[in-house]
Amino acid sequence: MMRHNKECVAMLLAGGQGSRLEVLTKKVAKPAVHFGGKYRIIDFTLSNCINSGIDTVGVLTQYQPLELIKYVGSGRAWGLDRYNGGVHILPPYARAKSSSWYRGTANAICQNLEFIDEFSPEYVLVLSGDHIYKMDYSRMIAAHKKNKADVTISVINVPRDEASRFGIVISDETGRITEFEEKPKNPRSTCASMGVYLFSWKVLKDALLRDEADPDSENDFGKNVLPMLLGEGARMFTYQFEGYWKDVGTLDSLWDANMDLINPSIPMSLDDPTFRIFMKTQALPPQYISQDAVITNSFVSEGCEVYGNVDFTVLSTGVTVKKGAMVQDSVIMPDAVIEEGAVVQYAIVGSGVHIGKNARVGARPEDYPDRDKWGISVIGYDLTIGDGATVPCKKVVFEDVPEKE
Amino acid sequence: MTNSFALVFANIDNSTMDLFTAVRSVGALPFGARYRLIDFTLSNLVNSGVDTVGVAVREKYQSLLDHIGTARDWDLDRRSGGLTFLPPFAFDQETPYDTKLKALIGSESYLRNNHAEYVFLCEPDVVGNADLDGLWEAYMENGDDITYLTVRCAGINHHGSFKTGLRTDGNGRVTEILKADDPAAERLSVGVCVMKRSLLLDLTVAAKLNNYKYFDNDMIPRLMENLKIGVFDHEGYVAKIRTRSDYYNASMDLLKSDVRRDVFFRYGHIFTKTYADVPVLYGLDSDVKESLIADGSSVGGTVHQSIIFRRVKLGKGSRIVSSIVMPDSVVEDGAELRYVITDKDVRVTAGAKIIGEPDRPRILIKGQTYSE
Repeated sequence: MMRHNKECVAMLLAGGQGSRLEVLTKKVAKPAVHFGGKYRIIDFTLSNCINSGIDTVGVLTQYQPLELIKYVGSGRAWGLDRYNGGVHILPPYARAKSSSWYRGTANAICQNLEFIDEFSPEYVLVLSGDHIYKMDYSRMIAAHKKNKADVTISVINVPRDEASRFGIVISDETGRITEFEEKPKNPRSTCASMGVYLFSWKVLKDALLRDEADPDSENDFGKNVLPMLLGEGARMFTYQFEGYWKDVGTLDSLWDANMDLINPSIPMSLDDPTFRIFMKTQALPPQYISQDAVITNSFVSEGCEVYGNVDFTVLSTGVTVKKGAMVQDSVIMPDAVIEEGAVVQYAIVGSGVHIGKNARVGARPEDYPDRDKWGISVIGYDLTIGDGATVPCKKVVFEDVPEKE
Repeated sequence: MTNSFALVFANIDNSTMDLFTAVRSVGALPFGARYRLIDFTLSNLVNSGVDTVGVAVREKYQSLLDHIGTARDWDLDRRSGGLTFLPPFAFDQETPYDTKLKALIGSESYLRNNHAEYVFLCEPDVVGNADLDGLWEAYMENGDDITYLTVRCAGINHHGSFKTGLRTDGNGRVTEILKADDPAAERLSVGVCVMKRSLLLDLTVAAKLNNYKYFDNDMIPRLMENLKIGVFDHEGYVAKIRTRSDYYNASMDLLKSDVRRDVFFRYGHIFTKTYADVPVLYGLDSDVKESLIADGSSVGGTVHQSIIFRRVKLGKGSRIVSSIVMPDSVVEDGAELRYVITDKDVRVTAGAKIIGEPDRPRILIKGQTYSE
């Protein structure tokens, strides 16, 4: 079949388990976790691709892929259902003489060399499926060309006291990378890698094949492939990203990132008509706010029915908050039901959860003099919290909680 | 019902609607915060497995084309069948293309080239979740030539302005076709019926030969002696939207939870064009009661007993009471609307106060700016 060559093919690493989000990722891969009322985490990277003119995307799946595969579907929701190009799900597969799971991020790409080669791209963009940000990758590609780079790594400035949580990139005044530091104790730079790598395809292909041949390699970009290329003197540059970027790899950061959507001082609008974040939607009616409802400072999605009090909260599609219930500072995922008189504070409530009458979930930090004992509460998908039951703060709930008199 | 197809008459006369339909056909009328009227008809068909639909259109159908697009959102983008627009074709230009019969005559080749055995005829000015499977089963069971979807005049769940009344005998057989307000009418036609395609073709030929004017109120009464006409009573809420107050009242009916259950879920979901709109952002001082709000909007003030469509911006301290605000409209800070229906893209400037009457809500025209 004749194909038009693509300048850039994106490879989206979506196979990780997201073990720190375990309560929400027992049945779905992390990129398919619900976010911001109507979105899933993967919507951001897929939308970034199409908004940057990249219409060929490989989504590398491995862990619990069913929900993710169903969600991505033909790619139509993102305009990625193309005759030439489009979005492709790439699971690990068996070969005539061998077969293996994806062993590391680099190995996952290496097992799909043929997929990329079909499009004969100049560049390959490697992305992770677990970050919330809006980015025009075409500017990064332009910088890559201008620098005649082999590799460009997108970086963001982080506060110095947080830099030790990130992979830190050290570069000279021209932006050329001289060193990497993985989670350094005493960071020498505040440029953190965003997990967005742009490679010239020839360089990447050659590096992947050599990395595969090394029996000691863990076949990981951060640990192996990038340091190897740097050691060999490859032209590696940083690309400075300005804007909102959040790794939602932990429950706390997932809650934070959701809350950021309500915060008017956070510079990320999902409502920019020139750079939209697309999502797959269901056929649900408009949201209904009843006579008894009190609703302020919140982000509420279609299909919701609100009869109670909602404040500083993200309500996802199809959520019901019954009369007299109170939901504050929380993230409620799709189709959850919060019964009459229940109180939910500082919590993430998974999709399909049923919170019984007068149950209490979570608590406000103000009510805890000892802040170390306080934290958000999280309830896993499809669980039932019985009438009158209590889920204390900082509790992560994996199983149904029985009702209490 | 794979052996059937449907014709939707989006070309029918809508002069009773005033103002709103000046820029669009009735099926394209925005309704219920995120829908257009035709969504109900298309969804009812799709939910009953009808996957071939011809939509007759006359003029001002740009918004309908834009709304339906490839018909993907209704799963009507099919390899075979799917949705086909039927604009006026080789038709007498002197008279308007505004009746079912004219659409039928104009669509004769579509009827001939479709090989399904049964056909549903639908008027798109209906709000309701209809059981077309039930209609079809009644049609088959009773051995009718034509079966109409009806409501009983004595019922309480039908609203708006019906056109056609039916007199029926004890067996539910139609004995006379009347005007809807005729006291002898026992049932009202919702504007949906089913028959064999072969019969419809015969009727179309007869209409052409005899110059019949109307399908239900002229041709059928004349041919009734030779036709077995039955009825199937619709269950649940239904409204026929033909006037401004029909529109306003049916919109406000959606604020009742039993009506929402009927209209949005009873026999299947109602599909509409999907947008990637963000959830609704409620501000610090928002005060919202008894209202329906669609995604993409933001609320900075008071909204009571109102319907807010997609991507509407309601400024700080604005007050929207007993009103309907259509997509992409902006109500600036401190402005007030009471008994008002804004069309799309309307701007109400800061501090403006616009008050209509409960039984005659004021209409703000598409794309205009209002300061009083």
